Amino acid sequence: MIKQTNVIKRKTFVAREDLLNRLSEIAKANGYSVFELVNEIFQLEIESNGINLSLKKMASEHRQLETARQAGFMLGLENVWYDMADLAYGKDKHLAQKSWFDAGVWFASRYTSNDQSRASLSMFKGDLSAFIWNAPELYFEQTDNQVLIRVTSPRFTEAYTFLFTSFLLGAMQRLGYKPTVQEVTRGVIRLGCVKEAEYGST
Amino acid sequence: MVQRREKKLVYVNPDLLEEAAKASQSRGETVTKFLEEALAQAVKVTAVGYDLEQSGEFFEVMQAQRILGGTFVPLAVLEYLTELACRESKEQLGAVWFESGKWHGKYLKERFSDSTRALERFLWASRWDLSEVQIKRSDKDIRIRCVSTVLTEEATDHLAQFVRGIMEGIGYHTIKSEVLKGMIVQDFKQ
Repeated sequence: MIKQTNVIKRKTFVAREDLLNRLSEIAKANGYSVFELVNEIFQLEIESNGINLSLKKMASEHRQLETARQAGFMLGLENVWYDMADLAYGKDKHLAQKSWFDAGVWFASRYTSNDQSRASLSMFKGDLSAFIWNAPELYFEQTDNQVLIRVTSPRFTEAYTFLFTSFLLGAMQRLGYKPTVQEVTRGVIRLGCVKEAEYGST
Repeated sequence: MVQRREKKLVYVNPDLLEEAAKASQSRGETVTKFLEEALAQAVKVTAVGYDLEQSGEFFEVMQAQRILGGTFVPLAVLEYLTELACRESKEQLGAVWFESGKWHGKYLKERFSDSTRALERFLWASRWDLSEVQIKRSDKDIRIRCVSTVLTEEATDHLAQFVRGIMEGIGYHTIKSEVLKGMIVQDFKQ
């Protein structure tokens, strides 16, 4: 709701009080008036809209980076990454796989504090999808106590495909799953996993 | 039960409200929703420690990184691979980082009006293992300093090759390059 007031070159806008209170704190900390800050935000959103962008997209990008940082990831260069993976795999396959497996275990550890396994797996899947920019397809299917993961990327080298499989196996083990299906060829990973307890009882 | 939030009045420049009305139409939203969403998202952006003015620039840099083949990698694995790869073929890997940097530099030059500023934003946003990134400009000279308390000697060397590649891709010549574990100081001339 917008109302005309008697103030020259100013109108009023009605917004959520909690937001305005928070913005008031931010403005104060940065030496702005609330009027200046609110106008700057509106200006930025209008300009962003002109180039098909929004503060919402920016906030999402910031959150993704922050989550990646907390999860122990680093933004790297795909081509260099593949070269290094090839080199390590060629030198000592088992050691390289162990390194990736351990990284998967560590990464998945942050999702295991949640008692609801379905929610944990869903969060794991969400973050993994957000971080793995180099795989056009990252498919997760969860039915009862089974999980099917399919990763497809024409750019993966053979070594990288096997190492990334080790990463997924480490993560799934940490989440309490055991692999029942492993089909891996260059650029394509297909993993079927089942909850450990269910696996033991069948 | 839905909790009703209290509302409050805030002053706004009327010209902006007119522009916002047009922008909101293009998104198929009411102007109130458009502006309130902007305020909510601005609070989220600042909550994670980012400056609003730099956010748009930051977003563009990250989009460029996606186009250039950036991908997240587990840090522990990266450290292991760097150490192993350096033991096996240090020079070959250094050349890969340099060439990759050159390619990035050429793209930054095409994509951004101020490519060295874009480089600074890129390093600041993506290399959170760096505690300081400083780019000093004077006339046609540029000095880049990167400091990290966690980088290994090998990783520092790779980063130095990468930065040098970017600067050469942008169109600068390397005048001086000092690389110590966790510290890079490089001078360039246009």
